[in-house]
Amino acid sequence: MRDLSIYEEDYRLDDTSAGAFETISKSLPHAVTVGSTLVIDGRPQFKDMPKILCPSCGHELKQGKSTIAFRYAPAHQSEQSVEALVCNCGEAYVSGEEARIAYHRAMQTTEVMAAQELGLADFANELRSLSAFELHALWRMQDVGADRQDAVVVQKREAIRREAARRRAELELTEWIVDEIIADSALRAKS
Amino acid sequence: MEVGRTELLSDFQVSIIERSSGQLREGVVRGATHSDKVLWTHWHGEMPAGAEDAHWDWDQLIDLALAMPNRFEVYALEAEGQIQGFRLLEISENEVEEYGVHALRLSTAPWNRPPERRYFGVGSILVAVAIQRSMDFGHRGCVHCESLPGAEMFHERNGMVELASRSGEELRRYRFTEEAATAFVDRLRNDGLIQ
Repeated sequence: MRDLSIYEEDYRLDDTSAGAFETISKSLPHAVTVGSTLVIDGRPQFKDMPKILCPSCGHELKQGKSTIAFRYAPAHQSEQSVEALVCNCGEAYVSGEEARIAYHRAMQTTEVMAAQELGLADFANELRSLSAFELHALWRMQDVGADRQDAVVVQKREAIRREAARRRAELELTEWIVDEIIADSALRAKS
Repeated sequence: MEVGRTELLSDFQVSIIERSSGQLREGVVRGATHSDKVLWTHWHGEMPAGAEDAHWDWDQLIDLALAMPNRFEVYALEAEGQIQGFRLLEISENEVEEYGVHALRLSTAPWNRPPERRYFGVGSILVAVAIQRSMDFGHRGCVHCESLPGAEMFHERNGMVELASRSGEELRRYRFTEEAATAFVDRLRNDGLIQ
């Protein structure tokens, strides 16, 4: 039998920052609080919105407006104003979703066409067949580990949100009908 | 330091104010459960743009508090058949001994925020829950928290003292002293929001 004790600590030798942080996070308890920050299983959950820094100058990016020019769009709508993260240094960062919507606006295509292009046309129908828990799980799947700027993810999240709102409205309606039936029965019993 | 856990606050009868009628609506503050996480999913999708707490993951926070009951407590305010707000408290560790219960997170339902503002008082009642727990644990109502920029005015208006140091996230830190906490709870009681 080979003596493996010599290899016992060799995972600690990853001296990149990622390796070091991973090692530290593994040694932390399940949950640690550092002021307002909760670190759960080594992952921080900040209380404040995470600050987004400009890759060019390092200052904080703020929500603002920028303009995208579409050369092949009709002249009167080739320049589209879009929501963007803007920096004092003049840089602006537009999300893929915003750019996509601006493109369809400039080219006069519709959201349905956009959905077909993204392969999402039947997604809303698929959602209707899911149970509440499956819907919830799907929401979480879209939320965790996904790039929120990705157009498909944003579209799917929006579709799930609409489905959840629709179901809640339905539930409220059902409760209201049941209340009405009970009230009606009580009246009949009295009379 | 680990505080010996007592039972969760139970049957904390409260009332919230319906904005449209000005009437009080009865509710209850109870320990949050796993099933409340589904309701959070509905909230999540309806959060107003720019909400400072939109990135909080109550799924995980509820799980955490239920898994570590000696360190965290999570409460839900239920009224009119819906969850109106969530509150996460840290009841041990770090500076709890020095500054009282640590008020970690508080969220109200999207419909209780501008522009709709369906019910008033949800946030205040959930602050009172932290004070009540502080009293239960022998901290005389002392509560401390790190404030999001949008909530600073609320904390100052209610007599919380700003601590000299800021949090690691550069958030202002506030503390309810015994006197301020008592005054806060008395006001809610006079207004009929808590009993």
